[in-house]
Amino acid sequence: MSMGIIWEGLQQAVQLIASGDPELVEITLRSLQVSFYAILMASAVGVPLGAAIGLREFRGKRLVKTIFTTLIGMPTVALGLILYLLLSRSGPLGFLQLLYTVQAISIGQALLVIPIIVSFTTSAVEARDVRLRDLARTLGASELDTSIAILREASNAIVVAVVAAFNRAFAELGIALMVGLNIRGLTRVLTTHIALQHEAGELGLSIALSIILMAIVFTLNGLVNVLRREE
Amino acid sequence: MRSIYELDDVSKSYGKLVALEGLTFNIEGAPTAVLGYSGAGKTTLLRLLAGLETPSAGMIRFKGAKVTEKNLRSLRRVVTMLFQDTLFFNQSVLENVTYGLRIRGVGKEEAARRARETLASLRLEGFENRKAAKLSGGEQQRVALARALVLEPEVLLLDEPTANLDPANATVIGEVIQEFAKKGLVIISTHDFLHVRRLTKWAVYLEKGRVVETGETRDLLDNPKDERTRRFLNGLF
Repeated sequence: MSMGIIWEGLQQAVQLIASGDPELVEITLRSLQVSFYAILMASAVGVPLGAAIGLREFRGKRLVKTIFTTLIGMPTVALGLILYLLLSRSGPLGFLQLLYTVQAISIGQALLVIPIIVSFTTSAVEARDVRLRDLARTLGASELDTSIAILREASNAIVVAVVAAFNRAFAELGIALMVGLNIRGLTRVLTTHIALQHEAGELGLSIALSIILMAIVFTLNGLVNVLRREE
Repeated sequence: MRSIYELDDVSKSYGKLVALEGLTFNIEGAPTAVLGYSGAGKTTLLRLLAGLETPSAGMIRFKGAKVTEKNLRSLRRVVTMLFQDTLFFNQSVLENVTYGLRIRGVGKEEAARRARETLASLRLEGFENRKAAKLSGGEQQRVALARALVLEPEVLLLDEPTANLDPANATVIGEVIQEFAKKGLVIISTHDFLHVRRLTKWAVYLEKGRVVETGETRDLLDNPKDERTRRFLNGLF
């Protein structure tokens, strides 16, 4: 029976994609947009922070790294719940009136993936640090020149970190559900739509949507692999 | 003759590990060899002379001025070190060789012209656009030397520059070092006694982080005064 449902889902996915179903296109584009903004915000914070941690030696560095590594495993529903409490009308950030908006989902996803970007960027920079630092220095580089050279060398790995973070944001459900509420035409994204269809017993459609979600994730992973090979 | 380097009771430790202890000697203008077993402290000494590290104790003077944390960078602008294991930025040969010039503010065209000239002197014409990290060991060593020489440093520090190289590559590198030695100071750490004899005029022998013997290269190689130096030269432990 399950194989039958999967087959049905596959057929439905092909039909949905081929027909260019307007609602599906809208949900997919919204999902991409929400996660794109999340990644922009997370990268703006995470890349400089990860680079700074990787490039500098300071007291408590190991602890800071451990905290970010631990935060990678943060459950999305827990983060969604915290954000919900902060953004709800009676919460400290309620005045922003962001609850149940795509902006709230983007902010939540950004918070979710910042630890990924920070940790991976730190590792990427540290992996290249010691000998390259000496090389740049012996060629007369200043500390700033040296840092730029190391970041340039780590750029491919940093891109990999950002793409991995995008995948995580794009495929998460808890935050989108808690602070977006899956409102049709407003905050519905692929993952919340999949959950809704599953609840409604529309397994075929759920599978079709999951296939589309995975196709996007796999495409991005493919790009990451190409980058890794080049590196 | 005024010394280029003056070392006064220089020690270097890493935690409990003492890499160098009580080094006191001067290096004047003559090409200098740093000799010693693996682990004797040769690379550490070169790193101190290159301004990549500072002594844990004692003092180094470069052309009369004390080397401190504050003036390390100005020292590194005139002293360049070639590492034993060649390392490159993930870029082309030309980009690697022009790096030091570009950060000194030399224009792109001028930097490329000077880099091409230096590459040619090391018989590396046509290598400009190749990935430096994908060249053979000998070619990489020559590119690394070009990258150092294009900066026209006052001092060139070479850590085992001909280790694991075939004779042809070793000869090219030897010739270029000899040419450089006419205008700048070369300090070379190597186990290749043939190169030591040909390229240097003065030598210092280190053992377990301490200076055992210094002197003119020929004297030190042919008539070592210390039994430990003799054993080293005869390949004995």
